[in-house]
Amino acid sequence: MNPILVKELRQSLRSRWFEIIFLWLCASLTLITAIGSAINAKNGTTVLFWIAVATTFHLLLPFRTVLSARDDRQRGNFELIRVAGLSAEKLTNQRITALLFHTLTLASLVLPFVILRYFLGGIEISSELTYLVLLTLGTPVVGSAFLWVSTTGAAGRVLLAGLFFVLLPAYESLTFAAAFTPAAGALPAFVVWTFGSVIGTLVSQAFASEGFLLHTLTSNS
Amino acid sequence: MPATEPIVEVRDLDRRFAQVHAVKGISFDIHPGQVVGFIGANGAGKTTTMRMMATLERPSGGSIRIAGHHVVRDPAAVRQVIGWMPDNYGTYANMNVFEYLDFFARAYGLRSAKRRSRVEEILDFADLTPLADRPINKLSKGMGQRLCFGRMLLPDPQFLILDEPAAGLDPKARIEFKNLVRILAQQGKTLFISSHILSELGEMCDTLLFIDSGRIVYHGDSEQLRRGKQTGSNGLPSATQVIDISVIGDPAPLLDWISLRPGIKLLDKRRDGARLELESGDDEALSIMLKQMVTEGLLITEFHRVERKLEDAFVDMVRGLQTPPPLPGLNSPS
Repeated sequence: MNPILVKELRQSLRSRWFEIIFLWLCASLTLITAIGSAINAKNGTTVLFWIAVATTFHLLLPFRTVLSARDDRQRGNFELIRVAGLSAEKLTNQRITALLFHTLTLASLVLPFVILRYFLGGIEISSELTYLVLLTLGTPVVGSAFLWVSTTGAAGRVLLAGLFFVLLPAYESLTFAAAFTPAAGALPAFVVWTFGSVIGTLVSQAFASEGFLLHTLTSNS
Repeated sequence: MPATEPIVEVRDLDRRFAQVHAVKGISFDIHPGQVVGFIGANGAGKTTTMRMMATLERPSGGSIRIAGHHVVRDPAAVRQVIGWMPDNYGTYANMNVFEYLDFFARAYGLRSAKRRSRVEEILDFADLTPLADRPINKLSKGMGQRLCFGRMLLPDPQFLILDEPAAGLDPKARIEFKNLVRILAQQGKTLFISSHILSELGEMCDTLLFIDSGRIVYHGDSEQLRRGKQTGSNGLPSATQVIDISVIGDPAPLLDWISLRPGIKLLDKRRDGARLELESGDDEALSIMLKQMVTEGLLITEFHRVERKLEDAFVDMVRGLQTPPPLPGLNSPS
């Protein structure tokens, strides 16, 4: 089993950050589901429900991954890991795999709420489950992009962050469309989503790896 | 010089950072089994040199070979034979001692049962077994240092690079650290240790390497340095030896003997003897002097060479290097 994944699972699941994210998701989903049930307007709370999940999966968790990578750099662990023989590519890939596992852990928390909402009535279960799967599978592209932004210098970070916050809503909209658009429009949206996710992940991971490499091996000679 | 092939060959190593020329074309060899102390003031180029050896910094010029592998061309092979312990060792929050070692064992590619047994060996070696379940951030500085020492040993490296490993340790932890170094030296490991605590390096290391302003100014053993002999290519004059002598009864005959000998200077006299300076660094000159004293009837009870502290030797050497050369023509024959 890959070392970063084991380390991240051991370390992160005990961290205050993960507790906060877990509690935030629990509390917000409970509240939204309860409100939707009370006012008998499940569809009205669907957007709120998924905004809470998407914020957790595509903002809070990737941000935690960035903080974890930053800690590794600042504490000097990054160099020790490199000397231990892990390449920058492996470091990036393994972090993203760990992020995916964290997302899966939280997805298993979201799933009962989706089922509960279905039993309370008023939602399209297949669309909601599809969206949950797409949000989960979308974390590598968002996480890689976060890591890429974090490894650039100050000027590059501003530029990339600006670009990222234009692309992120577009990606979220595409994900939503792929899950909730009626069948005729869903297929093209799904194809574009898959293509964008794979390409985005590969490109972001390549640049993030390069950034990590430069952080340990100064090559300005 | 040992007859074996060097495990480390550094040739004309150079490193520049923008305006700073940190390492200026240094060359040296390290042979298998040597424990080498790397000494220099802050900013002298120690850490940069060590980082280049650990494949973490790319040289601007020159080369480093470790166990035959080039650090720039084949860093992966170099990483398999080195252990690296930086001055600010990394720790992780929310992780205990066992998990920390297990994580690095996985990173080094150790698998299942072998990994577990290696981690247990290291815990035992570094005396950390009772602390295996303790969170890393609850360890004392000394315990943390032992943990990092253990981490470095996980892949059983041939060549260990330790940057300021004793910094900030209390006396007990320093003794423990010295013991670990001694055990590794007995196992035949090659160690390259930097420190500001020169006396400790003198006790642990068989060879010393002094760096000043990016240049190697001394490469030799600590005994020679304490005695004042210079074997480096620094052009320093050969130094003297200070001898402490005790005699039975009145020291007057000893003082008379000293006053009659050219090349021997009285430094201090006591009720039972004297301290003198012999203007030669040779063991042979010392032996001849002792033989003459005994032959000429001096009743000697104690005779020993006073060794300088390494700190003094280092300061003297740096001071010597900083002495400006004489102005042209001032000392030249007219």
